[in-house]
Amino acid sequence: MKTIFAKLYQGLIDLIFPELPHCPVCGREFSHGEINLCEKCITKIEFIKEDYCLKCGKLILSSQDLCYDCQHANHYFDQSRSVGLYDSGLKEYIKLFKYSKYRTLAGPLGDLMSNYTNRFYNIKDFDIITYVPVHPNRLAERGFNQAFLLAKRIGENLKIGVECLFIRGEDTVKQSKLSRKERLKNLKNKFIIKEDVNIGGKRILLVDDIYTTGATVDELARILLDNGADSIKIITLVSGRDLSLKRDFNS
Amino acid sequence: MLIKVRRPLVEIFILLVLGLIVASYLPIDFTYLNLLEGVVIILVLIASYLWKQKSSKVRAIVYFIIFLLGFVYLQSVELNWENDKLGAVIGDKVKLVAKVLKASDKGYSKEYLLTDIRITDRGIYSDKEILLSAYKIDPKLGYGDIIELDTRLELADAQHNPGGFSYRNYLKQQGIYGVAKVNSYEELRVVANRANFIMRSLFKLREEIKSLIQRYFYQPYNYILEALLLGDKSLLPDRIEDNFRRLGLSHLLVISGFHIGLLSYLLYLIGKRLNFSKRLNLIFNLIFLSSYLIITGCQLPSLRAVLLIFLVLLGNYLERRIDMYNLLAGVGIIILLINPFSLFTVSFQLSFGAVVAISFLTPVISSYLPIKNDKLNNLISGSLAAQLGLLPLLSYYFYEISLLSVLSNLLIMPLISLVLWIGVFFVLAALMRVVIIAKLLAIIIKVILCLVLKIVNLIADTFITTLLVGKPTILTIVLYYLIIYSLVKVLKPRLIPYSKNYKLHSKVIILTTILLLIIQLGFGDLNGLNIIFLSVGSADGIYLETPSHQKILIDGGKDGKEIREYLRSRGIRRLDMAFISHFHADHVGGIIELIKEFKVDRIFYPPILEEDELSREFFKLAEDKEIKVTKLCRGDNIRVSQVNFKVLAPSLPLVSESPANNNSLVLRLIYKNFKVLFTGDLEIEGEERLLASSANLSSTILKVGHHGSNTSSSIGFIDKINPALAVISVGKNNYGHPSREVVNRFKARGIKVLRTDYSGAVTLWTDGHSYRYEEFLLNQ
Repeated sequence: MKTIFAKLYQGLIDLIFPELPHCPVCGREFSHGEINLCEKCITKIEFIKEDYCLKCGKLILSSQDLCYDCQHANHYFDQSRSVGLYDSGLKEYIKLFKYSKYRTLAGPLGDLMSNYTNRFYNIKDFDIITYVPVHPNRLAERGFNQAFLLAKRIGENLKIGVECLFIRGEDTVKQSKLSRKERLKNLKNKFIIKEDVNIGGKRILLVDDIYTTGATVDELARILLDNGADSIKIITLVSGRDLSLKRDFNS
Repeated sequence: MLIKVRRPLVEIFILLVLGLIVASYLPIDFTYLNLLEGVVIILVLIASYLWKQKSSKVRAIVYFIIFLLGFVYLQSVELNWENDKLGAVIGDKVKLVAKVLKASDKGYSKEYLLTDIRITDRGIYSDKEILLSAYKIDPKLGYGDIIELDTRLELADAQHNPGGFSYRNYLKQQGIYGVAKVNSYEELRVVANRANFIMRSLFKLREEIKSLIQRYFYQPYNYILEALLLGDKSLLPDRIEDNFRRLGLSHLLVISGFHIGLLSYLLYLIGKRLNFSKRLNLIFNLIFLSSYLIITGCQLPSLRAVLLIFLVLLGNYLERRIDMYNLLAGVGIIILLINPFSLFTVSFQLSFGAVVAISFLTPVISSYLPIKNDKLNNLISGSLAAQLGLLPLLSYYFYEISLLSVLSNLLIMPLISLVLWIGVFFVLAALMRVVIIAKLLAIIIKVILCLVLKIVNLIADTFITTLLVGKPTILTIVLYYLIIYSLVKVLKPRLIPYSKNYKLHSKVIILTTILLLIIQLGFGDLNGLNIIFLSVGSADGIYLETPSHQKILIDGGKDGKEIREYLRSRGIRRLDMAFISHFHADHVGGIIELIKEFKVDRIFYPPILEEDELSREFFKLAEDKEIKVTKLCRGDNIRVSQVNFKVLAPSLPLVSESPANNNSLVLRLIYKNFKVLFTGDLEIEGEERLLASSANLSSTILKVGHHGSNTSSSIGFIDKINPALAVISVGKNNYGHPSREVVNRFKARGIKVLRTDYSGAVTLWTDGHSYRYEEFLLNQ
């Protein structure tokens, strides 16, 4: 009898004070009804909304159209866009996202990427979404691939199929510990396209979490184009500042 | 991909409200009611079965059940109301025993709310309430008195005219079935007192506080303080209330969320001082606020506010995040369960609307306001939000909007808050007989209130404070809110960039704005002549609008009240012309009142034998207002676009028999093939002279002379006019108007007779060939 009353009471309280969604980062309740992050954790993000490189989406000086890299080198991909800067908020969330406890971050982060994809690209132009793979050993160690989770979320939001197109070779040195030149060298022959995929004439959206020099996604774009893909566009969660901006920033 | 914030009570509230609204438009009888109750039970069974099956359909069924419950609830209350036993004794002289619930002083009369009505010799008992007014006597009844009363039970006046006010509905919304009067002590005896102890003590306390306020303050400050602290503004001078209303400050004079919030804040500060725990604070607040609620007469606005504060505090105590919309919906559900009719009251809609508008609009407005100071910014954007959110409701109910409400709220609200806070301490000090402190606080309050009145009067007297907009249609209101909602969605500083809804809302805004403009400016205005015989009691009041929209009045009723409300509801501030049929109070009285408020370009009147007080008053006022007045006699002709007014009478020398009536202005309106004869109060002598003059009288419509009296409408006269429709402008009277004989005279000739007391306002529309008419009461 007592439990019935307790249940009733709890039900009534839940009706009057319904539980609000909890922020997966800080645990705070929020009621803005946008993405699954609280107001505070959203405002920590530095979104890239203007002054981005027209080619690769990096933050640049407002007087320029292209970033230093894109002025001096060509990319295989058509375009790349990033949601925000690899700084305060997103830097923290990406770090947390590596732990399986924070896997749910794929939701809000993927939603942000979907918004950007929708804003900068015409989603009807995509046939497939794919993502940057990790090596099976790394996958076993971590349990999941962030890029895949993000791609999956975007695919659900935009109703486009997600396909795995690559196999990753042995990963000796982590890309982030190398200089630009070393990175390019390190990449050679690291990615192999799967045998049974058919991407002839397909327009592909490639998803990754971080865009630094663009070497990784560019290499993948090259492979895809070599295998007959029609066009490659990139969406990443974060990117860095352009060199010229960094100089400006530091002085 | 949007994160859903669950607001279960909001969902329930909306469904309930939908049920109530649909029910109010679709009345049903007992058979259908029982049938629907059966349906509800079956649905509940199905839902509980599906619940066990964990079916996904259960949600939809539960939604439907809630909607149906709202529908059934209102229907059963409505049917219960219609079939109440008191209905059998309406209009009869009865001896009843009843319990006094509430007493209030209206100055010229005392009003008592009675319940538990027992009429023993008819074997009737009713739990409905009755409003008893005592004129000329002061029976000093109080809460809990059981009285025996000889009286006549009546239903209150219903609405008779478009734009008018239904006192009957207003009382019904408060659960009051009828009204009664008592004029002498012999008709009233107190037989017992059966009062609940706590209630009685609280009512005593109320009386005590009232007498203290009266002791320390003089007029009008005592009345203002009674309104502010006790929620009793029955004696508040009209001028003050009117000025407050015009400045959009009315909400300060009823005990609402504002007052309860301030009091609760005070309690919070006290609790903090005394280091109360959260639980103690909750209990402390609850006891204090509910006592206050009862002292102030347990009015719904204050109940609403107390419930809301209590839920907020409860949430704090339970450490749950508070979602204002959900809580508000919860309070709304409780109020609607207590009294489903309250959904249709102005007060419910305004106070809920205000809270929703403030919560929803303030953040957006404040982010666009270029004011750095946070407090000031919040205050201004809050006022603006309330103003924007309530605009359609205010114009729907009051036909005008207050232009300076933001400014005046900004100035007055802080002062009134101060008065309220100091007022609480004053009451405490006065109750504890600390005279010095009470006197000191009273002086401070007086100074502030004096300042408040000075500011309010200054603003009200110097500036144009209101704009008459007329009554918007429901569709306009809905479209307005749709635009506001979408605008907020578009303008709201977005948390995350490139949310998708932006485009959708922009489209909604554009489409609804276009639709709104079409409705407001475009069609709807059929070209033709409109005539409306307003139901103004035993008097005449006729309003005409020509095809090119000239606005014309023929007579103004006794006090012009109904005409005033009608014109205001149409957003009309200016009349092109008015005709006075003759200088009797039930024809010219309203004209005198109306020209004080409305701009009238020209007034036409008949010659009179000798001046009297009324005519002198009229001419004096017309001169002050610089209105062009013109005397009309037979042979004159007034042409207003395609409409012709031929003056058929009076003719000189004037008739000496019953001269005012018999020398009434007789107008024959001619619009293409359509003719109307307006005869004022013309009696037989005047009719005979008209017949003798061999003027063409034949008309489609006749405004029957002298309210259908048998001293008018002679057979020869009727036959000469040969109308298809006769309109009798009549109300309750002691002269026996309209005479049955006269009515039969029309009917015998196959002439349709419409009476404004039965039909309410009669609206006529014609294109100059055919016509159609509408009876207001038939439409209700």
